[in-house]
Amino acid sequence: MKKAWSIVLTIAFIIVLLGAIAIGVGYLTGADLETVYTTLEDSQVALYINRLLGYWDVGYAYAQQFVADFPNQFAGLF
Amino acid sequence: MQEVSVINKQKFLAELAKLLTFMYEDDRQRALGAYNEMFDEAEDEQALLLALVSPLRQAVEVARAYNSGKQTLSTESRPGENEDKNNNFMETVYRIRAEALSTQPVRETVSKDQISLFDAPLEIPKEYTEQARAAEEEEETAAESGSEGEVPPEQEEAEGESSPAPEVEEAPAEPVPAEPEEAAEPEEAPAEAPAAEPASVPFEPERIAAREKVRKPRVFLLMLYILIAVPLTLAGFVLLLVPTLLSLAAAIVCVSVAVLGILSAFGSFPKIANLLVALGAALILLAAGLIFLMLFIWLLGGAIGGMIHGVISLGKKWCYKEVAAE
Repeated sequence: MKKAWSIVLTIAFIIVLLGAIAIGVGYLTGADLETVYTTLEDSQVALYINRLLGYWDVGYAYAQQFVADFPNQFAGLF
Repeated sequence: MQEVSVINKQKFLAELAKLLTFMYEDDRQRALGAYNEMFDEAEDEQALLLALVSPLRQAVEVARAYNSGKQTLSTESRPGENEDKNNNFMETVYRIRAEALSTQPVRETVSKDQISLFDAPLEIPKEYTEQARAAEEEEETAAESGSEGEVPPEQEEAEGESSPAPEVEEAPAEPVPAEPEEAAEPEEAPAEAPAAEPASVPFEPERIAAREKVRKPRVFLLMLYILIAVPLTLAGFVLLLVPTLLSLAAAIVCVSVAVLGILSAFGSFPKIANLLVALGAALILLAAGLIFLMLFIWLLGGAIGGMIHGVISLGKKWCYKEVAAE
């Protein structure tokens, strides 16, 4: 497991490094963050994220209800 | 091919010394000394190297002889035979030396001007034939000393003329010294056998009894343990399940958003600088997803699995006792 962790962390570090380089180069060559944000908002990514956030809200509400009703779950048994 | 031409006596012996580290230091030095003598005796070093093939091969040959000697050493405890068994590998080394010196390969000498290999007749250098004869003579003398009176002198003369004779001659010569050993053994055996057998017999039942132990449960403790451990384990399982599922959800979200972002970025951004920023953000998200995925695997296999395994092994340790079998 230790070896697996070291491999995964190394790969993740390399990917993060590549991402940071890409962001740095983009900034240096004149990237506009507002344009990037509005473009992503209009694209499928924003829709997908919104849908996932909706699922998260539903799941969170269900978990809250489950925890609140937990003592009553076994009431019928006794 | 280059390695073969570059290797020399020093390299061969150094390599062989490394490969023979499994032997006792004295035995190793003896074997290396024999190989060193072999090189000193050989007139053509490269021819000898070709005949020996490689240090690895020689190490394997020596190891076989050495290990066979060791195995017999471990099973037999008679002190008189130890030295003979130890000498097995030296006999093998001497046999290799005789073979290597007698069967050194014939190397063709091709002149630079020669266009085809078939233009010049194949000539065997004198040194090889002389060495081969010398080796044969040595073997003959060794065989004579080993098996006196068995081989008639007429047959020896006839065999001396033909080259493959030593191989035929070795077969009857080797078993001969073995017979006197076998004949001599019964003399030693009666003296040692009574001392060895009574020592080994009483220990057998004790050993068997020691081995045959049965694990029996302490019923009350086991029931108590189950009553306490099962709810606690379930609680621990649920507690660990929450972060496990959360990490799985996070991994799925991160990876899917990152992949979607990378795919859509190429069609959405006309400016390369903006594209690079979006790609960089997506890559960082992908790395986070990878770490979450690994966390999920670790929690599932390491934490939950380890907890269940630990509870079971603890129960075995506390609630079972070892009892001798009836």
